[in-house]
Amino acid sequence: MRPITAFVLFVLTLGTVAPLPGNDAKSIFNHFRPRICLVSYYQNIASQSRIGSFFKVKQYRIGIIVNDRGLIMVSSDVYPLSLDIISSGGASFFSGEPTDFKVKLHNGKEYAAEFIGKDDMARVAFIQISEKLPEPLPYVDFASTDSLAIGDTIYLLELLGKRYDFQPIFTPLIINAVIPQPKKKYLVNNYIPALSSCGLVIDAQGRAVGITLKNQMDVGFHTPSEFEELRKDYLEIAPSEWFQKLIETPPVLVKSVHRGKAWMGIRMQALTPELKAYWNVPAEGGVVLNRIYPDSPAERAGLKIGDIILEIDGKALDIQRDEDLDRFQALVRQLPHDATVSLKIFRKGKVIQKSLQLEAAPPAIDLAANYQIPQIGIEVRELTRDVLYENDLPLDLEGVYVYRVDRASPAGLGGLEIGDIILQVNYQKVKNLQSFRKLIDGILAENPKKIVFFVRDQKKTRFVFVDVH
Amino acid sequence: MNRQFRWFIGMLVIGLPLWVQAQLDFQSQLYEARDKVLPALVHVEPIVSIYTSGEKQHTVVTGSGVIFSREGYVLTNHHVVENAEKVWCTLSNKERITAVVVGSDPSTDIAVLQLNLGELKDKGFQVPIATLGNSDSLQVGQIVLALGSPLGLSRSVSMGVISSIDRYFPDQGSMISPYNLWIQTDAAINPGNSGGPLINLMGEVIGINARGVFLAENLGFAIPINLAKEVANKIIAGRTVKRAWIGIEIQDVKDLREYLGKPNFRGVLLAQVDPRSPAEAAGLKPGDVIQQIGDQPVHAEFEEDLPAIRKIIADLPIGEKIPFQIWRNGKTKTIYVKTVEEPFKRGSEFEARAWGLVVKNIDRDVYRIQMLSDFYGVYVTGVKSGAAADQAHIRNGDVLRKINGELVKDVATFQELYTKLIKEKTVFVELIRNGYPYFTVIKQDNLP
Repeated sequence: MRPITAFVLFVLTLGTVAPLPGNDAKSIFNHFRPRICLVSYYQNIASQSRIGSFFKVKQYRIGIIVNDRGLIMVSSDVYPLSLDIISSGGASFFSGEPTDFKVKLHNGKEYAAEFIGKDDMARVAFIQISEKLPEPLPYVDFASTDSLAIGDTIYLLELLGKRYDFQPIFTPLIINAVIPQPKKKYLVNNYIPALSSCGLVIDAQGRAVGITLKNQMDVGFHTPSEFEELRKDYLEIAPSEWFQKLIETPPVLVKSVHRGKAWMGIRMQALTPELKAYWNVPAEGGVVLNRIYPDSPAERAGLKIGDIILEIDGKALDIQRDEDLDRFQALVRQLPHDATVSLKIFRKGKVIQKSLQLEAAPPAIDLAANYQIPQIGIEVRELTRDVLYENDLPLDLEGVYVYRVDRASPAGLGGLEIGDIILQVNYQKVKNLQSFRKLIDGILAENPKKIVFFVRDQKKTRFVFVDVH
Repeated sequence: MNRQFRWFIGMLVIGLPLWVQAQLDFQSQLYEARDKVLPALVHVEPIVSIYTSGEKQHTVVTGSGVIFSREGYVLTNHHVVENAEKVWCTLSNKERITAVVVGSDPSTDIAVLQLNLGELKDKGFQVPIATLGNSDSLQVGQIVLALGSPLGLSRSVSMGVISSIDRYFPDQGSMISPYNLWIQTDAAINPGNSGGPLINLMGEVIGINARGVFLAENLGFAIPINLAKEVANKIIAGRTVKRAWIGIEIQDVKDLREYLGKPNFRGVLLAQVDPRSPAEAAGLKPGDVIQQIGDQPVHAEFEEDLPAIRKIIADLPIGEKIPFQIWRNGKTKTIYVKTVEEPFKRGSEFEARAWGLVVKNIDRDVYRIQMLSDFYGVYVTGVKSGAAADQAHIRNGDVLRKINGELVKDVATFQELYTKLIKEKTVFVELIRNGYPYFTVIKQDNLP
């Protein structure tokens, strides 16, 4: 690139950044305060002991206004359902979809809003104010963060919790640590409890440079030292590169056309130095495949259990610990969903090349088509790959998935459980959701006293007799 | 004096002494019953090895037992003497001698010990024995005494009634009892009572106390003595209890009867046929209703009827083709199923000390949860923190399938391989975790 073009580009970049506020903390705060808002919505929450009976609980989050037409960026945890089989939404069975989104601006005005979509990798979701706005809104324009380093001053703009009436809280901090892998992020101290998911991060020059992520507690720790880590309170900061593109084209969730991220269809472990030595692998790191999902890109490419991926598209995989496996996952997921990758594989003492065409990850059960049968108190869904993979069931298994069972309903009393797969109703085979609907509607139309379901869970099959009241 | 009052006084004069006499009789009946069994009560103190931390540790547990033969055989619970390395028994004459575990059956929670009578200092002492009664003739409401030695040496007797004679627990959790129903009583059963006798007023043992329910009051459970006798006889004769297995799960037909509109329909509903089991090979299918096994008609109207049918199957001769008469879609037919010996081997845990690893044989739950395709492998029950196995990321619950490429069939083959490889610096291990392989290397850096 010639110096003059670079200069022109640089000037253009400057132009897209909103007029900078003054460099002092107070004017930075005053500039950004109207650009964040309070988002509220209702979440269905049910505890395990009260399966089927949801409480509607009002939840609050910070929202960042990202365009003048009322597009609001919030934390992706407002929508806890999994979109596809590789994203982890959260405890979906106990929640369900959020409803009644409201956006309250700093001037006290409140508007109804709708959920647009989310991206679990970037950990952000978008909602859109659906009412007519009297005037364009002031919004946050994120800048790039290349220059951020340990010791730099940053400002955190968050909202306090309900007990402090959601007052803004503004905290000067310095970047305490830079985590380069798998995606660059920063760590900062955090001691005052506030609504922190998707808080706004501003640098010393007054440019918006990122958002805060609540650190996701991994409760599966094994050693006391890991427990030690959890006791300290800190926040992670996602730099604007994580989500900048999403603001221009937000992910739109239309269930029937949702497209998953790129997916290979494998489970894996790291090539530890010990395994490398035992197998005489000619590389310092890699990914050992220990599970190949049937009818997946990996199976079609002819990958086998025990294969070791050493390189992807010529790039060596320096993965020696299981903890580093998410680097490989992140690498694959950021590729176009239909990309073809070339893999260098070590199999039984030989190095071979394979090319693999990626696919979009199949959708999760949370997005599957559903059918509710209030007479007996269940909701069933079309079987999806995640359920079959998870329970090691054949892909051609025919049946429907029991997604919800109302407490003390006929089905609940009869012993039908969430997670059961209904294989037969009244000894007639269930092919899919459509055939189930037809069957059950026909049976219920005749006012039966009893309906018999033949079901299987992960481990075994059984008959469930449901008394229809 | 009016007539009615005179009548009342008269009744009182005759009745009161009778009532008092009855009370005295009842008390003496209790004394008699107690004296028949209390001398045969044994305080059992096994020293057991526990491995939960991944290395062997010892602890002492206490329980009770009852002597039922002159050879010094003692009935107690499997869970009292499980993993016992040494068993101390204190007899009614306060002598403390050792005993050996003759055999132990987890499925019924029954174990048989034999006292080392040669250790008795009082050579003239003849061990008192208790009479084993009949648990088939028990009645709800019948008065019973629970004997035991909870909290140390003192003997205790508590009284109650039989609350239920057919308490059923589904085959899950720690209170498994696939082959029997339980006697429920409100006589106090505490941890130290485990293995002690439950007796009737005739002084006959009618059950072996097994469990109290934590945080529940007056809920004690005993194993019916008839089952205990049968298991004990098998243990004494053959030292292990062998059971036939065909690989099915069954359900009662109460609801099926209503669904079919056939109130007199009899049989037991087949709910699950295990993959690669004899039942599958023979062609049994879920939904079949088994109406006769061999020449024995079977019927389970309620779930309480299921243990008896499981027992009929477990008692079938092993390795023989047995005719199962089934009902399928309105027709009856006979299917021959070849029984095999229950594939889940019992046995205690084994500690691979150099690797910091404790394993045991695969049981039914592990087989199901890990979705194993056969019965081979050993199950990891303990990993010592920081030891070689821990460094190799082996975890509790993993199934160890292969070591240096060789199939680990059970604890015995594991033990052989371990002994052979104990001096190796690196050992390649293939695990099954959540149903799928996981590869790792056990490294012993400290070896020369």
